[in-house]
Amino acid sequence: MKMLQKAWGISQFDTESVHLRKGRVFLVLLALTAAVVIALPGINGFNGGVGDSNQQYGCSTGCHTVQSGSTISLSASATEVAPSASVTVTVTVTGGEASSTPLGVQIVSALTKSSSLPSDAGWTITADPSGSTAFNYHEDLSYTGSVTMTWTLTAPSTPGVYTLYAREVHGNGERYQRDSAGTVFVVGTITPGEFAVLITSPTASSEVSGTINVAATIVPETDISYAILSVDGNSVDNKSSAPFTWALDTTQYSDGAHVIKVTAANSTGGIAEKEIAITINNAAAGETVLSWVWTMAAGSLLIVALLAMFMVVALMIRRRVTGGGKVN
Amino acid sequence: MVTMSALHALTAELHSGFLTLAFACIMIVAVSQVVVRYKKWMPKIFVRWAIIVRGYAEAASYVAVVAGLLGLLLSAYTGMYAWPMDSLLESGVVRNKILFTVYATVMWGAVAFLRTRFGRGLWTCPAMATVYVAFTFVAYGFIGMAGSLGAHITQGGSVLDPLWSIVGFKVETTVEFSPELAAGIAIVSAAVFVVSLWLARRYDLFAVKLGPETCQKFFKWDEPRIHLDAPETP
Repeated sequence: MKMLQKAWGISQFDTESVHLRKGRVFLVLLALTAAVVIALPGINGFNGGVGDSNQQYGCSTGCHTVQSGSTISLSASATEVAPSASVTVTVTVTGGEASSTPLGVQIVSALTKSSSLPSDAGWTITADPSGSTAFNYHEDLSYTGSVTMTWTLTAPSTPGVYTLYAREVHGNGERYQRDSAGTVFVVGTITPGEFAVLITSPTASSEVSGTINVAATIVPETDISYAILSVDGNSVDNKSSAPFTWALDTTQYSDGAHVIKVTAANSTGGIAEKEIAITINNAAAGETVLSWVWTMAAGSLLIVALLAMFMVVALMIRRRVTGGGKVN
Repeated sequence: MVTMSALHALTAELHSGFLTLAFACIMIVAVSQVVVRYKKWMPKIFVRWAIIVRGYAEAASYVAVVAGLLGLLLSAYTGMYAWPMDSLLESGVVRNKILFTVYATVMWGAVAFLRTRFGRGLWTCPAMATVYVAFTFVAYGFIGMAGSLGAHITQGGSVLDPLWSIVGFKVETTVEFSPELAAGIAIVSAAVFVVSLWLARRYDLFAVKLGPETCQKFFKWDEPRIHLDAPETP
């Protein structure tokens, strides 16, 4: 031990001075903690998400996880629109915990923390509530219990079914958040007012494997008598109420081209149907899983081999420095 | 009745915490070793702190690595039963998460093996300490990647997404080698392993012990010991 202390070249520890230093460290930590606590009430509606302060959709510095007591709704000038048509979206927030403090409102295409900007789903914002920019996030810097914000968007150019949500976030003691219900937009493909079926999943001409989710949207979705899912003309299942989704085990079918069809009828005798072509390829999916297992095994073996190699190299370096293993 | 998904969440938090502690402690010891080794160029207060801190950090790191590894295995077990295996394997994100979890387990196993085999004496041999720290670093990277993919599965996104975007890693696309490449890697790995064993036998490396009495004379790297009392004046 004494030899080691000599090697360190350190004088005797003064217990009192060590205690004094510990005290200083404690005081510094205490001051830092107090600074953080004091700074917390200053957190505003925006929580520093992925992207920038105008396009929040994530929570890189902390999510707003506490359900707000507010009410939030999203309405639109039209929900059945032509591709690339202009749509006005209005978000209204009432109540909640923010009081003369900032409250942020955003419109998103999905309730996820990534790929949820309206642009990710094909929307283009042409004007935000400021009137001069085109961001999906806007703040009311001094929320007094009710706010209405309006965005103008251009609908996606690809026909299909799209959903937009509104989300409000605010601070004032906690990180509050409230999401609106999704507003479904039917873009193209049907005539407004027409009874129609749209298959939203899987996408037409896609290659699928395993168990897939077949989802259909029926407009209008009221008074539906039945909705039948069929594959290659053979009925698989039928439902009479939403959600019109089915889990379809594609391993029950041969690999190759197939047709999925959803037929719906309403109480007034209206009948609508939609069919899409898909390609089932379970053989390729099996190959992917096999390659993945191989990757796992080969990678693990590589790690073990590298460990053995580096250990030997390290010990050989030591052996060389210590003179041919004289010291062992 | 406690559900498997609740147990999985619990064990996932457990292993994340322990392995983060292990990573932090090992990095603290590494920095402390450098500070003590080059004490002539360091402020004395840093050297004193390094000597005290590294002793505790080294012991804590070993406990944390072993506990974290057990937590990781428990987490994998509970994860397998939390969701149906068929639906699990259909998702590219889940496949990637399982892959990185397996890699992380093997890497952390290697870290635990190194510490168990050589004891804290491994810190007296700079080359071995470098291997130890490098394996810890990569192991923590793998567990971070697995955690990020877990956040994608449960939350739809992760704070590491900007990083994935920069490096061009698509979480939904299964990381896979072609069977030929995987077989090649496996064969080369097996050959490297066998050659390493042969070299170890040839130069009698299996019996090597690392410690101040075998290394410090040459490397001047001493052991991170716990000091319950203040060292005496030399």
